[in-house]
Amino acid sequence: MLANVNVLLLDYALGSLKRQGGKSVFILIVLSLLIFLLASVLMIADAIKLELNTTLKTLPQITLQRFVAGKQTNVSLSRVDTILALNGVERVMPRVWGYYYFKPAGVNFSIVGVDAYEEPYKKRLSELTRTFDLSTLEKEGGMIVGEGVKNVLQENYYSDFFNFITPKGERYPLKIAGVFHSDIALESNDLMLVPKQAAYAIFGMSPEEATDIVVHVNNPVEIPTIVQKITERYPDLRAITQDDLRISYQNIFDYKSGFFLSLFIVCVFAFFIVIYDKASALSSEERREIGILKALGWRMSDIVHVKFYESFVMAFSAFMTGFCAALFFVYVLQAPLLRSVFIGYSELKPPFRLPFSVDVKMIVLLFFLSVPVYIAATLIPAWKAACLDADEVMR
Amino acid sequence: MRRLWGVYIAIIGSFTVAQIVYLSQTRSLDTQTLMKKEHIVALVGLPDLALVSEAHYVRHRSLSDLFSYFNESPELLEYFPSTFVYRPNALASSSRIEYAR
Repeated sequence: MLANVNVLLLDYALGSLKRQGGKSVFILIVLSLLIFLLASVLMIADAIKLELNTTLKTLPQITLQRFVAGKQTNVSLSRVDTILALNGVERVMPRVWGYYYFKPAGVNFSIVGVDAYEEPYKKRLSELTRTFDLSTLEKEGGMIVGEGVKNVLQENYYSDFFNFITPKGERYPLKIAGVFHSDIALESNDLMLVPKQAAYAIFGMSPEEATDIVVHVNNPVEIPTIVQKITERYPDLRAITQDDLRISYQNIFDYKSGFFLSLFIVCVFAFFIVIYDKASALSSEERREIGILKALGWRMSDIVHVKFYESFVMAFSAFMTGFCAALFFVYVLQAPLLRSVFIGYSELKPPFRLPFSVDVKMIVLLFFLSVPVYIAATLIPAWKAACLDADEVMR
Repeated sequence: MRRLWGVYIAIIGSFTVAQIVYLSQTRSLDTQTLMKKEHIVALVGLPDLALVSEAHYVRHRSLSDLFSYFNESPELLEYFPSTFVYRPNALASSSRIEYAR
């Protein structure tokens, strides 16, 4: 392919770009900025998706939620045995979890009840936490909190315990027995892991109920059948399978409205202004140049070749510059400003690093969105002008 | 001029490759962190990331339902920018539709 490149025409195209001077530089900067912005947003979105997908396989195979009048409500524990009796069901676990609004900081904590720190949990918990006080957990009933929770509580003068207010208006103090490591902040930042009976007391729930039920199945192929069996037996239960979660993760970003729409509209408009400038009419100087070249005996294909080289040099340089700058901005600088768009402005911001991964599909998409469109927008008017007679073009 | 352009592309290209190599060595998820993440998710069993915690339907969006969007007021309360960035979960419950059929 490289052998087909006409070096003299390429030289002429580069010379032509140099002659245009400021205009070439301006188009290069605008194109690079557009590609940089799009690449940065796609890279951050990809990094977040990567974080999500790494833990997908460890999530429950089936989660059952009970709906009354379209609203999620607690499930009776009596259903656990019926579901466990179904063929193919390996384990059924009722869960107690929910949110606790902490008014002074205006944040929601996620409270999850676990079966009083049993033996298998202990070793794992000590691996996941940076400070871990087993005796407090066992004797006094404690909780393990995320780093964000710990910081918010500390700002509000709760350094080693927290007073929950139950729906009855009573205080329910729990000691902080451990804090999760900061490298799992994305999963645990707003988390409070408390003993199950404490969760029941904090939420004011009846001990015969659970927030939802998690079902483990021996053979993953049987999941749809088991879901069907459960929902036929209990039509008020909604089953969320691991597959549903996968689909939910795939569609996490709202590309069709909101922030992305406004961003894409700005980018598309800016891009089209550049394209319009190129495509609407060649400047009289450029038309004259084409006329003179034709009068000198250049063939139409030579002129189109030159214009192709010109636009390719511009678009490819802009693509490389924008992509390289986006890599540096997102992964080395950790995307200042743009990152806030994805994290929001809550008090409970998790400290995390965007994990790096090369997504070839994204690079190809960016390339085809920018380079061929620009080349086409330059080639078409040049080809139109080159079709005309030399005197007609120059007139 | 051709040489100048070649040098520019070569510099940008080699800088990009160098960045990719460096980042894949230093900024990709290591096995230890990955294991920790898997353990905590297996222990807690809840989906989605703690990136945004202003609204329940963004924090655990995969488990949210129609009512969670209108939990706080009869009108939809938006939390800028999170509710503009993250898409509401598809609320269709396949199992319920199958049953109704």
